[in-house]
Amino acid sequence: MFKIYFLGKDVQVPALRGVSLTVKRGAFTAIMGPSGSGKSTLMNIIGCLDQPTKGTITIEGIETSRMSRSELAYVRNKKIGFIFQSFNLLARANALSNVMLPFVYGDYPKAKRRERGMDVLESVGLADRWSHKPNELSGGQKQRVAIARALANNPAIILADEPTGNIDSRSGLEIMILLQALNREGMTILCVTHDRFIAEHAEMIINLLDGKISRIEEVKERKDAREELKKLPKEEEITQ
Amino acid sequence: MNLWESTEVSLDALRSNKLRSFLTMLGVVIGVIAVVLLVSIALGVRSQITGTIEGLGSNLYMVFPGSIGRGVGSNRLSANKLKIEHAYELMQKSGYNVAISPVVNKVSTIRYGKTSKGATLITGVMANFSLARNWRVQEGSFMKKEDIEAYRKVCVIGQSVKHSLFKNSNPVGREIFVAGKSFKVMGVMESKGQLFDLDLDDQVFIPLTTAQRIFGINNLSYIFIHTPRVEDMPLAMEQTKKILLHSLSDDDFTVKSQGETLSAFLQISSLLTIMLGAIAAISLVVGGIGIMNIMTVSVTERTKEIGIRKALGARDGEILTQFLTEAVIISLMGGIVGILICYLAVFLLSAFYPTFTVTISLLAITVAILFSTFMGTFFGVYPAYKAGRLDPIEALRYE
Repeated sequence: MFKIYFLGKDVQVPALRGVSLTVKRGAFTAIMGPSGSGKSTLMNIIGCLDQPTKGTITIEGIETSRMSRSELAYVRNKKIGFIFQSFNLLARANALSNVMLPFVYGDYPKAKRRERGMDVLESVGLADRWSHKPNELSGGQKQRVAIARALANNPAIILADEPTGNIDSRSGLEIMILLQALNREGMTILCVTHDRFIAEHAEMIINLLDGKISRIEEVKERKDAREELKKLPKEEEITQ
Repeated sequence: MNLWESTEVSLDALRSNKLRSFLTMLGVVIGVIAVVLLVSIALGVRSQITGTIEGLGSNLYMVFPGSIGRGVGSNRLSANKLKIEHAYELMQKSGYNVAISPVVNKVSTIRYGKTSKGATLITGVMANFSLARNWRVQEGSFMKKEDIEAYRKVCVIGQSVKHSLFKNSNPVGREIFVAGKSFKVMGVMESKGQLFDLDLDDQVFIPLTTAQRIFGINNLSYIFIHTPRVEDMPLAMEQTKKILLHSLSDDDFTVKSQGETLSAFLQISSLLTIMLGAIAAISLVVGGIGIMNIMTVSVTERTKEIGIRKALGARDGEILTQFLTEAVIISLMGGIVGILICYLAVFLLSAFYPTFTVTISLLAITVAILFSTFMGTFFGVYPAYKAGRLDPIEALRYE
């Protein structure tokens, strides 16, 4: 798969130059690489926010690389669950409305939206905060709302772009606990990170360099976020 | 996403920025008020004047001295050659059972006891004036033929004159002073209302002969001619012209019917209405540009939100609809608020000026609503289209 950006007349910036990979259903894969290695471009293409210049990409047997803009929007709504570094919640809307936002753009039956929204909030442990606006929630809680939103339409894959980048390590681990739990239930997860420690929570790490895959490694000693959290010093100790 | 959902989303966005939404709306509100009120007032004045002119009698025509309204070359200032003899000649020679009623007008001060009243229209008439003008006496009686022939100092007064000089007491039989001469009041005319800005009831009628003598004039202001049958009007008018041409030249008089006066007026007033409407419409266009301005700012400001919505599966069209709905809601609400304010304004106006009757024209309302919705759509489309076409990656990256 190739992605070349055309800047002006003759300037071509190749972001991806021949990336070829398969992610199996139910896998937990991390993508690592320095900035400029093409990991964001790869994520955007997998997430149907962008399309490759050359090559094809298939999600659950459907080729998305030649789809129209509105077909891509449909796939994003039904098959992809995004988790962003900066949460990307609507500031005006409360947690439940944010979680229900994907329903507006799909054909989810109206009568069941609220129930489903509360269910996914429950699964991230924030059912009691459903009426809170994002500015009334901590960073970790915001990211959990974002995870609930990603889960709302029961997607084929969750794409997490630096999900722990903007939050403290304790909340970050709580996020990883959630992702690992989802993965155990069978959810396919693709997580971009530059943090080796976070990447080692996945089963496999794909290293990108200059738009190419430099190395694919199996994680030998896979980290369990629940165990890692226990190792962290207690909160009282930090404040002392 | 259906229409209701997109309305909900738009209303939510408008609510979250109340002041801005209000100010944007204000442009439309003012535009709609301008259009509806100005057009309504223009139409109201028009129907009022049309009513007054028609009230003069549809089977009435007039002979004016000079050549009025004949375009370039007409000489309004030439000497008035219309004399009482011409009226007599018409009376003798006219067919169609017409009633010929010559009139002289003069403005003078009148007085009753210690109450005096300046600048009152004194109208010298013949005995058939009441019949020809279809204007009856309410109290007492109109002047008789003998009063005219004998140059008697008698008068019939209008309702407004009665109110200013006599308040509620009965004026019949009393003496009033017109231009320093004592006149006996014979009767009071029924109310006839306004003609343009002229109060027809603010008039004193005296015998034509007496008027010519005390004011020292020997010509006529105009001659009213009443035809019993409307169908005879064109022929009677032709005949009048012919008879007058025996002793007067073509430039010395003009024969004009109410219909002609009316159609000339209607022409001017339609032109005025359209002009007023067009000027007011400019303010609506300015309001529309305000919407476009704010929508463009709003799209830029909410780039991130657009990115989020797109990432969650919003199609270009759904984003476009959301912003377009916002623009249409602003302009439609502006239109409705504007119309409500118009009703309030008219209500207040008619409360303080009971004679001022303006009915809000349904046409103006329809045009204003359609126009403001059109403005919202027209000026909302471009920003909304821009919002819809935003690249989701760029939009998400926007801070």
